[in-house]
Amino acid sequence: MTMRKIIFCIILMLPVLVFAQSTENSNSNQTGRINELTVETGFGSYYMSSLKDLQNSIISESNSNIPLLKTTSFPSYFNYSLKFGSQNDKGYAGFTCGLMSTGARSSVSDYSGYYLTDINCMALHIGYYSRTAIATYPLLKRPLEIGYIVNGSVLYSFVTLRENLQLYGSDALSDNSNTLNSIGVYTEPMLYVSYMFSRHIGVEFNAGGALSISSPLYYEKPKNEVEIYNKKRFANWSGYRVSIGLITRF
Amino acid sequence: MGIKLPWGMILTLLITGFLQSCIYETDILSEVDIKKPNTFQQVDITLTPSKDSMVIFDQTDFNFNVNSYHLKFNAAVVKYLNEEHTFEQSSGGFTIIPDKTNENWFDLTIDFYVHTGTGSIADRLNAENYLGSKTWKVKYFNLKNVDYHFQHHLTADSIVEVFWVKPKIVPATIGAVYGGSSTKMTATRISGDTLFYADRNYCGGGQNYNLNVSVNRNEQVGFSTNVNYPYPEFNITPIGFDSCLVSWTPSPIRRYYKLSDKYAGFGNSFKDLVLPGLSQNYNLSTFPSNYTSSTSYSSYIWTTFVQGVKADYQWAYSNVKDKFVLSKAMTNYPGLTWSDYTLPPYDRKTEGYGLEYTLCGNNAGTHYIGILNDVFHVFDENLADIRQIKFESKPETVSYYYLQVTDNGCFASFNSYRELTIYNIGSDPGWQKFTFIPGNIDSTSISYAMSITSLTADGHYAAVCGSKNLNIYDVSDHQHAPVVFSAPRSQAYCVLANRLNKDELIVTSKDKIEVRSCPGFQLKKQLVLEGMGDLNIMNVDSYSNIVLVSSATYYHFINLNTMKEVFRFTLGGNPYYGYGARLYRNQLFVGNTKTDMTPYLK
Repeated sequence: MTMRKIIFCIILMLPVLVFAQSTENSNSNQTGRINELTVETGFGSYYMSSLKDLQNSIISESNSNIPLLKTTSFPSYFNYSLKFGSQNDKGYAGFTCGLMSTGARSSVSDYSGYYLTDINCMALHIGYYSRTAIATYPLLKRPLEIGYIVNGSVLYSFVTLRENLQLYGSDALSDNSNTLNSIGVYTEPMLYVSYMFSRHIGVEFNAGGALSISSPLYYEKPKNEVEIYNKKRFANWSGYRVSIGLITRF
Repeated sequence: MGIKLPWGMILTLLITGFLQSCIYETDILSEVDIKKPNTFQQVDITLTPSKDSMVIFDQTDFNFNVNSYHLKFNAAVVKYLNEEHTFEQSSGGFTIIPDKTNENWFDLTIDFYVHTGTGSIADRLNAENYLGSKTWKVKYFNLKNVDYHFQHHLTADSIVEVFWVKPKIVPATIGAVYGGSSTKMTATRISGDTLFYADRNYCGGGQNYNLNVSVNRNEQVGFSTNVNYPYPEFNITPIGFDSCLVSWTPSPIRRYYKLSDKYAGFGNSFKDLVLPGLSQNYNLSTFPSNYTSSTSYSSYIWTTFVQGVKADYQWAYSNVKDKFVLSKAMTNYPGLTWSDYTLPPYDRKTEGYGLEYTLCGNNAGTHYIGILNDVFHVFDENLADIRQIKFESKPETVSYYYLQVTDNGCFASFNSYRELTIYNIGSDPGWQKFTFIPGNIDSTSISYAMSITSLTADGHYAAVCGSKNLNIYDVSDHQHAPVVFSAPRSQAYCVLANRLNKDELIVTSKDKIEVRSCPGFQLKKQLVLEGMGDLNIMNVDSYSNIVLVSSATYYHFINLNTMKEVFRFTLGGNPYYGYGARLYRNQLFVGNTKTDMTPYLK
């Protein structure tokens, strides 16, 4: 798990390192091109039909022993993204990366203990984005820009399955977890409205959707595809997206 | 305006940490409202065998059953010694195989678990139970090491009783008592831990009793005790001259006896009438005390008893010499011997069989006749065989009872109840033999009474009871035999010349015995024996002058001097017994025995 976090951090640091390198270049070249760095947080829904089916199977199977209830089932949840691009003829374009997560819990608890099964999902996507302005309107002497953003990314998903059975007053009878992965492609076309408070700082609002295509879940290596409850399972991150971001241009 | 590298790095790391903390997680649990179960719940367990403290003697099967009162049973754990067994059913069985080297108490514990039935997670995981536990004390007892004291004794009512002492902790069913090898006995009483088995069928002899103890399911140990009370033996003690006490050895065991057809009961003796000379057979059957008519006897003994002193010889008595002459059976040639009146016992069965004379002698003791085969042997007073006379008639025709030797040397025999022959065995050379046929004899209709012919002691007259009358013949000339007196037979049923008085005849008639003169037949003395009917004359004891006669019921001893009956005894319902007795020198000879009647003839 620690190794995974380190990899995750390195991936996140890549655009920053690129940004830093380009900053050095811009300072030296003095070409006059404007760069932007956008940090966004949003809210999105996640289709996850295959994993919802998996949750239902788990609940159904549990009825013969300890019947589980559907506590949560892949709710809409926050996501985070980072864009770093340079101005071109139509707008801006550059690298983008993001983080999504959701999950499902089936559980039951009473005075004697609890029993739960979690399907926790997280995904990283890294790719190329392009921002295109459609119209610009002056507002309080600053430009209000309307446009759209499209991207194309590589998607890497982490699906952690956990089972925990605990009776109060005793050690856990069962507490197991396994993490599966999948890889895929991801795109997130959205409309945006941005407003620059100054020459360098602004905000933007985005709304749109997401579409993902992933491989079946596998264990450690892509060739180790697994079947869960007799089926191959997929992490489908498609859904609607809304977000708000902080734009810095320099 | 540019951002310096360190600030970019710091910002990136902050964002990364922030994002990590914002990954989806939930602590929410779906809670189900389930009521906590009661602390206590009634649950029962039963164990078979069911005592709180149990003693086992071998590997033992146990069965348990848990009544959970409709709650779902979870498990039962049976623990004993170092064993532990888990059962998932509410009832089950297990077997304890004891350590036979350890006879200490140990615990048998059954822990049992019953679901609370709440449906909680713990309940569903079988982790929430009502726990019950019960412990029994168990001990192995090695029945092989026990002394069962298997013995026997006699009860107060003299019944053989075997018993054994059962250890307190074992059931009586472990032991089975057998009389012999196969007859299983039932305990008749129990006192404390002792079981008693009365054998009312035992009444003597060797008897084994066996106790088989089942020390375990495959093994028995046996014990035995032997009872051997001997069967009875006869002991017969004469009482007087005509009775005896038949007794048999008593036993500490109560027995039921049957002595021939004379006695039945629990006693050990019986006084019986035993007439002199009559062989009496006794058989004694021994039965158990619980005798019924269908009971078989357990032992049977028998013996024969004869009253009197064995006198298995021929004899003649001389009053003048007061001696007996005896002819005992000899292996070779017979001989004669003197004996005084004591007449020691003589039994040819022990002394040996051989030849003997049919003996007859006179009262003077001067002449004796011994008959052997077809020859009369004449013996003098020194018992010398001085003469032999060929017997002309066939021996079987001689009526030995009617042989008679007179004091003057005459020997008479009455042959074939037809002719009277008189031989001269004295010193008179004038004659040898004289035979005549009494005219009053009809051999086809003669009444075979005893003593129907007799010579007077001097040999002059012969009295003969014929078919219809009594004739007295004068045979003194030894050639003719004229009738000198005749009387109806009704006046003389028997006749016998008095050996002590040549002038007297002793005659009997109905209910009477008389002394009459000879040949005049004048009544001199008379004794009436009312209701005795015809009387047979046996003989006159010249020693005591007592005549022995028999009626149909008694022997009568009549003193001719006083003409009184001095003694009588019964014939025991056997009239034929009344033909065989003789009295000489107060000794009663009958049935090859002699009995001293002196005490009774005073």
